[in-house]
Amino acid sequence: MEMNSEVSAAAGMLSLLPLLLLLVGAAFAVGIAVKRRKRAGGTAATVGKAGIAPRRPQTLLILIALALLAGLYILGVALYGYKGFTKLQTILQVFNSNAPLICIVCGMTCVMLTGGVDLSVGSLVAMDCMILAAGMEKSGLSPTLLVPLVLLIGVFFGLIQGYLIGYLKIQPFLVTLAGMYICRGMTSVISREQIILVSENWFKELARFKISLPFGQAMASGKRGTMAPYLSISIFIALGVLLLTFLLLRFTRLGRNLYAVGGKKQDALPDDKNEQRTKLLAYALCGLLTSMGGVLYCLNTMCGTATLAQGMELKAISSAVIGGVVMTGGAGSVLGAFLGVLVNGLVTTLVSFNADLSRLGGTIPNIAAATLTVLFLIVQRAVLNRQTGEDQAEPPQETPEQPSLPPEEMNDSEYTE
Amino acid sequence: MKKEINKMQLAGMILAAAGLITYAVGGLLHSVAPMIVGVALIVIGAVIAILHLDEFKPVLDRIKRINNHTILLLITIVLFLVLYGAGYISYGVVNVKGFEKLQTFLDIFRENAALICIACGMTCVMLTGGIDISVGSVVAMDCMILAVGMEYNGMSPTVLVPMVLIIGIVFGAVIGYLVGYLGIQPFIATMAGMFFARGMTAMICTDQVNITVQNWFKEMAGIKIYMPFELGVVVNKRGVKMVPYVGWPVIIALIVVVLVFLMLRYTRLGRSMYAVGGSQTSAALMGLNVKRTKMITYVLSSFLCSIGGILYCMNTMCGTTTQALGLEMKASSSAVIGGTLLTGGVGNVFGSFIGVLINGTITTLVSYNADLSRLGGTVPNVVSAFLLFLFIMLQAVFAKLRERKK
Repeated sequence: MEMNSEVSAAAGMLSLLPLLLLLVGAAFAVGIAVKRRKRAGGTAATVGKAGIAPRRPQTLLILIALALLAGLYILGVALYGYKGFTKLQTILQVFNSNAPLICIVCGMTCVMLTGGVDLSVGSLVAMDCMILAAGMEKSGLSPTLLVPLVLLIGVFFGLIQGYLIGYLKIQPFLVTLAGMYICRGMTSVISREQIILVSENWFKELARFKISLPFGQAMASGKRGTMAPYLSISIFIALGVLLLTFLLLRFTRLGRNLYAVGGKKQDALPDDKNEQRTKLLAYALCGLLTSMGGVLYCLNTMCGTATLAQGMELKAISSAVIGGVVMTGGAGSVLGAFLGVLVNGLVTTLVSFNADLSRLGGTIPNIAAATLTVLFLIVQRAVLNRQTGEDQAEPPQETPEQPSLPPEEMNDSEYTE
Repeated sequence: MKKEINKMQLAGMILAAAGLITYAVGGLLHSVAPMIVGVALIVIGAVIAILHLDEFKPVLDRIKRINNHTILLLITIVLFLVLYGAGYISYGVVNVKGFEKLQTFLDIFRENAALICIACGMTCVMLTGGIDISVGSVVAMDCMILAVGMEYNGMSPTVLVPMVLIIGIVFGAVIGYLVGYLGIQPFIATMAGMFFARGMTAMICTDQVNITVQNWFKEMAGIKIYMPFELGVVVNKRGVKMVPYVGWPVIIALIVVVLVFLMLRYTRLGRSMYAVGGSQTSAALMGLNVKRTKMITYVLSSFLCSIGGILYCMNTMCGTTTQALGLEMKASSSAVIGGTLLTGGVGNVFGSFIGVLINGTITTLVSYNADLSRLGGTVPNVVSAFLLFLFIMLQAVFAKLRERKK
């Protein structure tokens, strides 16, 4: 008993760690916001017009996402603290299992910045996994060959979609919806087998590779001594991708073009040709990053089936929206989207701790993601409308009668769980 | 009266000849694809050649004056005829497998009765410039409610059917409110609805529920309505007369098509939908309530979708979570194939109806092909997606041509 209480005390201490991190993050965000406001002063309107994200509403949106994340974590500790929610590994597992989603959401953010969307990501992931699994198992190809192949396929697929969207000016959601079904169909065309499991090779070794943390030891469930919390290799790849995308968006010409195309502000609007090329590149980039996510997904699941990664597109879109990426484009960042991934990941973890709900599989997280998307879109609208109201820069296309609808009103009608 | 063969006529003839060769090659190799292409080429070539005869000059001039939307609809009708003709020749004449029977044609209607209803709703939504991708999941939810209600709760279909319709209306009202009044993008709002409805289906029951209870619902599903005047009667091997039949779902679906057609053409609501899709600002300036029109459109779509769900349940007589996957794709591709512009404002349900028939013919053709039918439901979905791409591109090309004309 003594031992137990000691462990639980340690766990309790540890459980505060992520919360502390969140608070520090929030404090940082507030600090930055205040600083910006001071620095921007009278030039705020001109900065906003340049199409590179009006800063203040973005910060507010990210703060809301952070608050939600903290709320979910506290909820988890309160409800399932006794089941091991407070273990560090639980939090790390959110990272481990959502590494593919982080990659995908980076691509999704790039596409959404241009005012588009990509619904084909889930199916593309399934196709990637199937190609990897079938290639290794049926054709005996080396993963060294297959991984670049998969990435190339992703780029190629993205280029086709980008061409249709950028040059032929077809609505993004329709092109990518069709792409979604084509990919899903291809998955079952590649192999007629229900499921292909990947067996031994360096790909599997890579998947098994665990990077143990030097702290936060916890008791193993089976009394086999302590277990160090670990991170998988895929999360490092995903974070690398996140960082690169962040740098790309902030410091390269392409990144600025992405913001400008979505922002549709006259000053920064590049000529038509440039816009077309930017859109093409955005979808190609999304295809590449999604395929990257597909490879990581395959590392996690080690199999290929036709029903893999269903609802991934929803998760990606919802993560981006939660993180403050605006669906009409021009505003948002990958770091916010990363926060969104964590929110979705925590929801999934919370559901998995509940025995009744977890029996339904991925259903509840999907419903939660759908609900969160709609809620955050409403919040975004309210926040952004207030912003435009303050700036007097440009009236929104359609002013809703009640811009600040309380979310509760949504809940009682249909979207309750 | 010297008759000159003009260039277009020659081209048409060459095209037809190429089609004939392709068809012959396909016939020799016993593969369907070249044969279909061949038939298509023959028809197109012949039409071109005939139209350029001097006698048909007025017709040709008239065709040149037809606007692009009618051309899209004509392409659709021709595509349907070509597909059906190809099937007829490949599986009805060359190797007789039963495609030539009238029943096969009616089966396309029987299998797609639900889709016809749903495509009508989808057309209305697309006319306003939106899209509804929740339809497949709503159908699954409806089927599950009906199945569980009848099997486990012993409820009467007299209660359940109105209940499903009301659920559809409420669902549509929420989505419509989100789209119309809160300005959320249609595909996002309906995608949320899609996952919500699919999730609800799983929450109601995760197993497959078959309807075994005898009630008027099941009886109605079993009723066969035979063709009048013994049209297309076939005598089978045992000498029994087989009269082609349709079911009640088909009749209901056709009534829905007619009603929606009339609604779009003659009522204030229908005209408002066209106006909103054409240009929101102009519609608002004309004094139309854009927000309310949008909301009502989504309510209508979900309502029609629920009718479709009931018809779907009559066909399958069961409820599962994976039911009607990809139906939203088929519905939207049917509408687009039928000439409904994605940007809104142009289209009608008749075109969508033809679009459904095209999709149905593709499914039937695939089911006749042994290799493809082994892959299950994915092939029709993929073909449908490709057709959607093709027609969207055609629409884009026509839009560009029109811009150039101006």
